[in-house]
Amino acid sequence: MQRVVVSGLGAITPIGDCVADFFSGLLSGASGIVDFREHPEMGGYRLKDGQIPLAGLLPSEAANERFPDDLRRRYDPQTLTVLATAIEALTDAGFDQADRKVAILVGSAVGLRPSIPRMKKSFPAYAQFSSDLLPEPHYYNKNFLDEFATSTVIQAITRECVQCSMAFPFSSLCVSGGNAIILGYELIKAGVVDAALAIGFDFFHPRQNQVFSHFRLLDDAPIKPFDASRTGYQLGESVGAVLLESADTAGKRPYAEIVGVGASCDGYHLVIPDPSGKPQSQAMTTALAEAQLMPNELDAIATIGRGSKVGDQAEGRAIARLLGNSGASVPMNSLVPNIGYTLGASSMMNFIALMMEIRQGILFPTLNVEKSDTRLGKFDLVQGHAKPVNLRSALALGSAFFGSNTAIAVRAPNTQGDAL
Amino acid sequence: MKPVAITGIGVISPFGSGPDALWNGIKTGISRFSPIPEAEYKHGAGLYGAIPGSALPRGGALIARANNFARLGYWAAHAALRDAKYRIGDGYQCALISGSAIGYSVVDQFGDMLDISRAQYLYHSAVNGIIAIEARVRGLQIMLYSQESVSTQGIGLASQLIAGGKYQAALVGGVEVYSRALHACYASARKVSPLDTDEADTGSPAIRPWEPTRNGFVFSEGSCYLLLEDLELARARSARIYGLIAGWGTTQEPADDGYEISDKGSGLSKSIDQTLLRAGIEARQVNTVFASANGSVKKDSVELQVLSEKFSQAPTTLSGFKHVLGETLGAGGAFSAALACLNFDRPGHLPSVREGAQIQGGLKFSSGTESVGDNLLVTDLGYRGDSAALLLRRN
Repeated sequence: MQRVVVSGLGAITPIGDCVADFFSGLLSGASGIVDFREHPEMGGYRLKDGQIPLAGLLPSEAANERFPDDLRRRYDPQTLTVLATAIEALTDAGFDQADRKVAILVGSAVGLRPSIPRMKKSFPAYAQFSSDLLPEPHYYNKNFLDEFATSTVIQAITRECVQCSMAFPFSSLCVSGGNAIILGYELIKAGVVDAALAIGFDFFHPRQNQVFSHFRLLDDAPIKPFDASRTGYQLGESVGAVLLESADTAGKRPYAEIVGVGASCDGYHLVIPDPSGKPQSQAMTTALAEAQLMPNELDAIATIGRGSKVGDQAEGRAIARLLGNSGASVPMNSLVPNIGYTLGASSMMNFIALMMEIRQGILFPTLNVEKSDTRLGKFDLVQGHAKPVNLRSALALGSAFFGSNTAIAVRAPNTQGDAL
Repeated sequence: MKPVAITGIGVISPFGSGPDALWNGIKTGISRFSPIPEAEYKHGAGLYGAIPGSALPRGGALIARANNFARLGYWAAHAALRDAKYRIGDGYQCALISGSAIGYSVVDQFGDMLDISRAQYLYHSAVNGIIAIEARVRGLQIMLYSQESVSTQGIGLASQLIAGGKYQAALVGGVEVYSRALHACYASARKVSPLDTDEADTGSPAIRPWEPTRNGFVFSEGSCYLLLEDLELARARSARIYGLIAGWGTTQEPADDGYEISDKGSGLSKSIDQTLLRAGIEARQVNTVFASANGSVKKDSVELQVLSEKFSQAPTTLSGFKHVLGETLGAGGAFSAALACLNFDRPGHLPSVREGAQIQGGLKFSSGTESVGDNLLVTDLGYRGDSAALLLRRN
């Protein structure tokens, strides 16, 4: 069995277009939530009744400027954004592929989703329709599908930076990023590949926002994770990439070692998580059992904490099930107030932030929390200011529609006196 | 790799519901294609293999409200679990991996979102959600999508997870329904056979794998799920074991054109090498190959070239069934694996392909008189640089 380490990170988020900026934004309490009606890529979208107009959006054209004209002509802006994070992760790791086998795991809740102005520009015939209507079949051609297929991202990465041995484009909805890391871990551990590039992404679309508004998951009040007065959240968009390598072949000093993973599915309801938190807790228990860690040995938990009534209830109870009475001694935080709930990228961004926390020995604060909801359990939610902590082992969580959950247990590289 | 048992098969195809309907349909050698409804096509009239309306029971409210994609996947998965007589317990030991070339098309969503109250069914992985809720499958769940070899990849990935001891079982398969966006994209890339409905009435086969006159595939709807189990646990509970997954491999190669494979097929070649290595056998020990050939002009010839190089010495039979079933795209690998299992399980002969034609070396087309042998290789070559392979072994 191979040991698996995290050697490179890449991120583009509403609060920073690289990992360093993203993390300094988290430490300083920056928020990327804006009124999306003013965003140039919304193409004059008219808000529906009850729709919340706020979202965490990426800086316009953030990644495209990094690429030469020929790549900008070849790929759409969203593919280039994902490619930019992949390149950042590989560069960060100083990755030299040589003859090593690599897996590319690209997870996204809904895949690529071209902005309305791009659709109108690329497919002029589409322009006569409002964004609500289904275009007639004769407006489709093969380029139309390229704009939507996640495999376009894989082709871009395969062509531009990694000659991969295998590639899996997939969706596990909002735990896509976490599952990309889990699958990469399993493939390296079993010796199938030597390295894995795990990517989680999702882009904002106003129709997606409408769906979430319809389910009354969104609210225009600030996101308050695990707060007694939480009312809902706003969506966001982000892209995150993580390079995992076998400990034997990893080049530079890694961020952390992945020591255990757990994935579970509630099997409860299409939208509502199991309020008992039992299946979510099962994912955490599985990860800790594999890591041979006791819950009270954790130094931090990177929660999702999206600020929804039912979501936080399930997650809070799951954590309370895991930690029991020691809950108040394990610090936790949530980055959703900073960048919005980023769907398929959420568990990936959680993980990336945790890697930076381990590297810098500091936990970022959770914004907007006024009074922690004690009905969920006793928690030590990092608030107000960043908190310096020596992180030796920690857990990164993820949870999604249809009840998918992930938990990834990590260990700081120098905690057992080994060569990592 | 430690072999993994296949203990359950659930299949819904244009021939109807269940493995028997599929087996009998393939045995007749007559495809069951029908004209695409006029409102749904773009490039002139065409054919497709439609799932008969009677094949899908109504089910409870959760299933009845779902779209055809999710319903089709659910009922096949449900049948696989029943077929295996598998006791799922609390469900955490069973993973769920589905595959589809496009899932429930995002392109179509823009229209279907008009009915916002059903929006939760529009995600690609809604099929997984419904299976998880109804069948209490509570392990890892993922939906591989957006390329054609996904169900073969999914079976490989699930086998690896079981062989590594991570899960005791996995429900894995593929599902594909007609989507005008999907079909129009393949048609505009000239992958779909332009055979029109008049020609179909003459009895000319719509899909002609490896034939000089081949001109593309005909899409078929379908869903096929398998239940994979740890071999020792399956034997311990005296489960009926259809066959074993002994090896798998998958490779992505850079593709200049998103709808055309490379000339050399080096990705497929590597996938086959990985598969044989993991299974611990050599090419000469492979008795039969179920190829992904679907009548595409370039893909068939590249695949044949790769296979004839790999099996230049061995007496290996090359066969396929897509000329009868149709091209089920993302579900194709699961259908191949299911048909391999049915061939292991039942006395019968492989379908006849390219009657009378010869290949140089040890490879020969099945003439309708061969049986499947003990080691069967499934190859799956997608249009987007993806390829995958599986090695199935008789129990």
